[in-house]
Amino acid sequence: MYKIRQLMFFNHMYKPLGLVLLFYIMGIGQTQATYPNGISVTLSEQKKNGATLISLQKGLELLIKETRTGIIYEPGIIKGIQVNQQAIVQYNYSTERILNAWLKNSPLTFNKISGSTNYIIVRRSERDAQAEVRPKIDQRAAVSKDEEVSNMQKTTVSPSPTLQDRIVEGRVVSSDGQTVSGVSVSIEGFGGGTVTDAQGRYRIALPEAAQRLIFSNLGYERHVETINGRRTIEITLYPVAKQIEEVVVDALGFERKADALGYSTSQIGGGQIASSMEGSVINGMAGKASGVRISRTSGDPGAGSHIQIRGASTIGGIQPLIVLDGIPIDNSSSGNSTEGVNQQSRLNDINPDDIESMDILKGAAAAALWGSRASNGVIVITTKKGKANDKLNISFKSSYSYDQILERHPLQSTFGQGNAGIYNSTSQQAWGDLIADRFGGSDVIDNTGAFFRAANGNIYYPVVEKRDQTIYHDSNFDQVFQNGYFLDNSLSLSGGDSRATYFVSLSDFKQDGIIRNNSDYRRTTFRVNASRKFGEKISLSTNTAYTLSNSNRIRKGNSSSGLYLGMLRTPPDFNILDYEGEYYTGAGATPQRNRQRGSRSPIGALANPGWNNPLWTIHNQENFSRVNRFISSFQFNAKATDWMEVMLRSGVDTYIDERNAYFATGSVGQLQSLGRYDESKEMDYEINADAITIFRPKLYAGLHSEMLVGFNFNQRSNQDISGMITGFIDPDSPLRNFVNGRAGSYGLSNNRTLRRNAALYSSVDLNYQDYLFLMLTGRFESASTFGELAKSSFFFPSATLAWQFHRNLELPDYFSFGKLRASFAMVGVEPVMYRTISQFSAPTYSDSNGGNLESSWFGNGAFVPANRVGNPYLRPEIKTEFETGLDMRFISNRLRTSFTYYNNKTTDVLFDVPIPSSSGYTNMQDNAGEIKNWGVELDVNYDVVRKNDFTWTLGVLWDHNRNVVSRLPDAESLNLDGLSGVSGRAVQGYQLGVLWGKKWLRDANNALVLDVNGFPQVAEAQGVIGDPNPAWRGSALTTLRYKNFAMDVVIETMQGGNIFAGTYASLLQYGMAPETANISVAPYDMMAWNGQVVTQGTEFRGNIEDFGAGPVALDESWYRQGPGSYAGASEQFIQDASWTRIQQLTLSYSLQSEKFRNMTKLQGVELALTGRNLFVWAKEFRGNDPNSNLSGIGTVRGIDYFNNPATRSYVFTLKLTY
Amino acid sequence: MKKLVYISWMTIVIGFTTACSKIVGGLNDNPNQPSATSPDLLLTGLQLGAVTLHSGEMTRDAGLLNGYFRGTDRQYLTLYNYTIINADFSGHWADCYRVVRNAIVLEELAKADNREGIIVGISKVMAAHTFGTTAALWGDVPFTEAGRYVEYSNPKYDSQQDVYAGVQNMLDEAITALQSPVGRPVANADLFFDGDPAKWIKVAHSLKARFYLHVGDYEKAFDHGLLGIMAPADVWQADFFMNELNAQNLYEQFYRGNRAFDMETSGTYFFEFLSPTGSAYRGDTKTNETARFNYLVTTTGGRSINNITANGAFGPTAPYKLFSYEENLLILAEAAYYLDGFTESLNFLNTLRAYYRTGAHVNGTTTGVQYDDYVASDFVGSGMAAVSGLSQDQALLRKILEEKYILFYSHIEGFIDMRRTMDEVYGLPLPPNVGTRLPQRFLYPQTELDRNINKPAVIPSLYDKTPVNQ
Repeated sequence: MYKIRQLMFFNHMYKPLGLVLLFYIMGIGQTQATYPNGISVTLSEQKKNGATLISLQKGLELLIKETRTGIIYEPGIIKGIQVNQQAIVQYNYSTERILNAWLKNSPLTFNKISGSTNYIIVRRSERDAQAEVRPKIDQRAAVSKDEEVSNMQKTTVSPSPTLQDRIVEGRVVSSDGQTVSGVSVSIEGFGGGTVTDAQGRYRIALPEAAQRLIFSNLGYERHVETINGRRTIEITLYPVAKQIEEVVVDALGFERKADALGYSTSQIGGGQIASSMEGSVINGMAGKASGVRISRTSGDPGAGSHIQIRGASTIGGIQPLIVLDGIPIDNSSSGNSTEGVNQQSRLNDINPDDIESMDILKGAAAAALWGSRASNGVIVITTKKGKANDKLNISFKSSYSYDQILERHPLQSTFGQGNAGIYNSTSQQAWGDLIADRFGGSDVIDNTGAFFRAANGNIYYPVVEKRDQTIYHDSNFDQVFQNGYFLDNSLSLSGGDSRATYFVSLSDFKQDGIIRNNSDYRRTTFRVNASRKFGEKISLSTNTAYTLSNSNRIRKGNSSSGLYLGMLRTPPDFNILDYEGEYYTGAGATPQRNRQRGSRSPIGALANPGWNNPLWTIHNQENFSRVNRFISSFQFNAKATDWMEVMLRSGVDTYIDERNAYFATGSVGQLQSLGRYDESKEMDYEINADAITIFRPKLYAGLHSEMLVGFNFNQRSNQDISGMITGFIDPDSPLRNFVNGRAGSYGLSNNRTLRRNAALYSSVDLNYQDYLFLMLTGRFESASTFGELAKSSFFFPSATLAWQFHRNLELPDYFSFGKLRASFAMVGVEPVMYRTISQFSAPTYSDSNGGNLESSWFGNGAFVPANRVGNPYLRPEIKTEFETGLDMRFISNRLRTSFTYYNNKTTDVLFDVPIPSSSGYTNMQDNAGEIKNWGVELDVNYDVVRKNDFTWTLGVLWDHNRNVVSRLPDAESLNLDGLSGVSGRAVQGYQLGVLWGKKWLRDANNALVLDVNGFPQVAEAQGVIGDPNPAWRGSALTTLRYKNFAMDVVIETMQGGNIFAGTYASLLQYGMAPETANISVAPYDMMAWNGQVVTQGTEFRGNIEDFGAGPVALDESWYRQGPGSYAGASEQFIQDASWTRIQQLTLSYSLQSEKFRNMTKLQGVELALTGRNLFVWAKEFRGNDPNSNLSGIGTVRGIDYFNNPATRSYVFTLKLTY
Repeated sequence: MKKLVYISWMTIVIGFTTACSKIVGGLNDNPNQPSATSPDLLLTGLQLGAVTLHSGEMTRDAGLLNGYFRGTDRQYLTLYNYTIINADFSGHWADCYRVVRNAIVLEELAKADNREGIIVGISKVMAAHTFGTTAALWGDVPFTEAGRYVEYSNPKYDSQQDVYAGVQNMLDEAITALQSPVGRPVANADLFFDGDPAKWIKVAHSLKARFYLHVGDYEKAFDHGLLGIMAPADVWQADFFMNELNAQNLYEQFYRGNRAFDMETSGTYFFEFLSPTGSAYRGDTKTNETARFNYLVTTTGGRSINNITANGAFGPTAPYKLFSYEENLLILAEAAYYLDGFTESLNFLNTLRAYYRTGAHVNGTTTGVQYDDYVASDFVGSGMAAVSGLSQDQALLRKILEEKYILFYSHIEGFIDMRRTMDEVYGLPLPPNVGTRLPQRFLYPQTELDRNINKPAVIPSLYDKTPVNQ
């Protein structure tokens, strides 16, 4: 066997090298056969000097590491040769001189690869066959023995002896206790110096004025020691943590040196995403980048999440553009609403293990080349590629997660179903009797009349007298919830030869949610990334991924068929068991089939029971989604000349999302009660093409420049088709097909859209003397959505400047890097499609709280003007941003800080400007608003411990964003989404998305205006009641590695936002919140809200409160019917949404020792245990994750209304690499 | 050379940017919606919108404030307790003006198509009907500038009196247009009379009578009443002829829906008044309301709600009357009292009772139906229709208003008629649900307060009467 080692900086592949390699590959078999192993060549010279002898292999490895030279050799031929390690220092890191010395008396020789400055091949010399031949080396590098000696002397020469007045000596050891030879010891402020010998000893003569000694050695941190008159100084050096220059990816997918950028960017490595064990890419980002805020929808399997980058700067949706390997891809989440199911985010179709890195381009300047799609920031995802000249790497990862509900809503269990303190088996509320006062034993039933026969034959009669004292909260909960799990398996293969690389991966993620039934997600992905070079000038690469995802989720939120709405309102004394069956009006009566039994309808007497029994929700309703997605791109590069390169890149992202929703006959709701089945197909298609020419003109020395001109074409089209039937022919059939519907009970709809963007763009990069960097970009863009009477194309410019001032300024020693940067840019948001022309629509007149009149049933059908007026002047909104920042690194890069300030203004903000409805229309899309954001971002990373087998790094990310809707003409408020009572809105003078709802009636002094009984009243006008935008977000990340153990912790916090605790408000109204179960005693005669007097000494269910006119009794009338109910002033249910959580805690152990590798033939094994969402500390909010979001990924946050619960997970991972 | 580079550069840039706008051009016409339609299709849409408005949620909201319904949960409970905010009326207001807007666009389309005539007359009747109702509910409202966004993006408010006058004028124009020999809508496009102008002229006159009564012009109300719907067959009603999804009577849809349990008739002023078991049952030796009560209201599970069964007044295919023969007679009865006195007025009331005796108003049932003619003496002393504290004349007027109150159960006109007459000595003593005052009007919608720069300077409260009732 042979092995070709080729390390580091193997960026350019040369044709001659390919031949040389080939030559060796062919020749090596013979070598092994003919050349005897184990020859030991000792070099007399090295012995003489008391040299440190090491094997040639180790020597070469050291050389590669120290000199950053690529050395190619065949291990077989270098066996048994020993060399002097000291030669490395002795010959001052000159590869050729060192090799010359080492190989002089060996059967080997070496030569440089022609045309390369960085590659050297070590081979068997012809001397083996012939007589002594000097190694063939570059004559310039050949050094005679005499020269070597004189060189040695040179390096050890001390300053002029006449100035010497003392000698300092000592030893240098490394942090692991080993002596370090070859350390350069110099005197600060003076020339000359010495190096340490093989035992790490040094001896140096000091001039009188000498103050400090500087110890430096490659691979170690520079150390400055004050002499302080000492004669002996022992020094410990610390190895430098690997600090490879950080490379980030820009908007076009090109790699750039982070240190040369004039804007800030956050990179999240693929490992960080994968190690979060989130299953979905978006949640894996949480807490890992400053300025990026992630809100999960819920713990539902595969549910989407909301991403907000640097605040909301537009009204129409703030999700960032996702660019995958240079191609924009879809991250929509269609069908989200405050009811229905939590839909997926399409970004989650990507397998997290395929991601090499995610670069979050937060600012306008970073994203400017995406023009009218860049306003919300751009997330550039780069997938993994194979490495050239790499062996086959096989990696297999398997994770198993155990998921629990994060928190349960606290519920009262003191009072039973009913009202006014009296048990009532059909009441909606739990304002009934005191359960403890019940007689006990079995209930008294009326078995003479109507009854319910459950599917299993159990019979339920109406309860005449409730005697049973059993509380069913826990058993009801256990019938609905379980511990969920997921199993994630992923396999990848990668590698490459000199011309081609490949990366192939296969993954399968299978999750069962914490809800017992119909709550699951499975994602299977397959990816092939490959590249091939054709000659020196042309290369082709292609990235292709296929994803199949299947999911089923339970309805939530503001929906009577949602899970929590029916579940949490179930009184404590009602058992939800036996939820389906038949209702009989009496013995022998015709059964009324497909009835559900619930707390409001305990014997199934109601055909539409108001809300579902939660078991019905999870067993008799389905919401499937199946997505077949294909993302493929190819890239062609041609290097026409030294100074010009052409690149063509094109890709397609297409998917079909097939959904179906099934409601068994008897489900709650007007249509659903008849049985309902919906099926829809959404086909999405995006094509993107770029043609880019890159020029690298040579202007003059010291100024490097790169220019780029590109043309971009993008087309997005979409087609939806959906159908629905209601009223099944056979309600019991498992058939999910329209054939089970009666003629006339069909609903059909379809919709198609098409939009295009075309742009010409350019960028100019200037680098002056490697410390001053200027970048200018510009994009001329046209889009089909611009109005006919608006300009046809818009210009989006950017300019960024970076100055690495540590290169120019005299800075203290601990200062390793400093960069000042500033940028200015304009980006945009393009108008929504089809808003430029007034249209007609076939109306379905909806009757609020009731039904609909569908115009196609009447007369010949109808078309009426749409309520939105067309606007032919629509143009993109423009966000102008100024950003400045300071990046600094200290103490050999151990402390790294980055600070950014940004300030942006979005003008011409597009929104559906409400118009007075007395004008006959309700709105018109217009460029009318203005939004401002400013904020700061701070990243601090510190390597607390940097030793070989013990490292500890600590990072703190902090961001603050302040947003204001500075102009919103003609609209006091703009409803973005939410409930009918409380919604997230845009209101001039407030942050975007403020919560809007009913307020207390207050006088001019802002004091409550109380009614005659001393209770506050609801004001007629609604207003701003809270702000869900957190004041700041922070996260702390730490990684601790000790030998093979590692610990990763991510703690995140969001402070200062509000949440509308709608679930709690509703539970108060229904007598289910614990506060409603308090028993108070009136200290004196008190008024209740309904005007009744609670006499002194009377016990009543409720609380005592003083609103300003003396204490009053908050009883059932206040909570259920009065302004203290959900329907009352929403203002009172606004809570502090601040939270802090352990986002992730991972403990891992990896085995990759030489011994282990030899034994198992594996590269490594890693075992990890991760806790996700382990602890959440909420400041005020109870019952669910305060970060949960009713509106899914919409702009609106901060509303809780029977959101499905969040989860906590424990994940075990096994990773094998071969 | 530099020049050459520059020129070629500029050519590329200009060429591409021109190409850019070409590539993207002409794609923004929505393929999913038409950008033109015919007046006939618009007529159907206009009418259906009006049906939704006049028979849907607005009547429930008004009914909660008018003793017809009791709110028991959520929004209806709040409304019932008079916890009412401006935003509660945004939808109704928009729906009103959408009807108006459709009528205006219809006229424009008809003009462009050279189709003026009957179809425009029908459209004007529809618009006048909604305008009059809007003025009755809100007082001063946009009229002359309403529904024309392009000309008036912030319509000014006209005084309630001016709106009523404008509505009368509009109805006169409608009658003229209906007399045209041409312009009849295509078959089936008119949901009410299939374009029959004679029937529409009667509706126009009846509406004139209603709106004259609103402003207390009894003479004109009487005159137009006589030209109006004088036969049961001429009734203006919305037919829900199919028992199909989203085609049924809106009350039936409501009581089948999710909010069915939030509202009921049990425990209301109306219930006690009409139910034979009610505490204030209005039946007497000449009157039996059993059939009517059962036709209007049904009781299941201890809750009385609108009768949405197949034979009920609100069954899936039960028609909803927008202007009835009964109302026309009652307008005549009330107006006749002021013009001709007691006897003439009583005659009209007895004409109505004679009609009721046929059972036609309760789907043809005759059991539980008794409406013998009243005589003058019934209204005085110990007469069965006498009311203590009221004169004979006042007792008759009270009877007429009672009849209207029942007739308008689940209709918007009930709320309006009650507000018109509640301060009269003979007005019905409707008790407030909470407190001591009855809501007098609908609040201006939040949408209008937020957006219309021409909104009224002083925003009246729920308890302020509209100008015509002051």
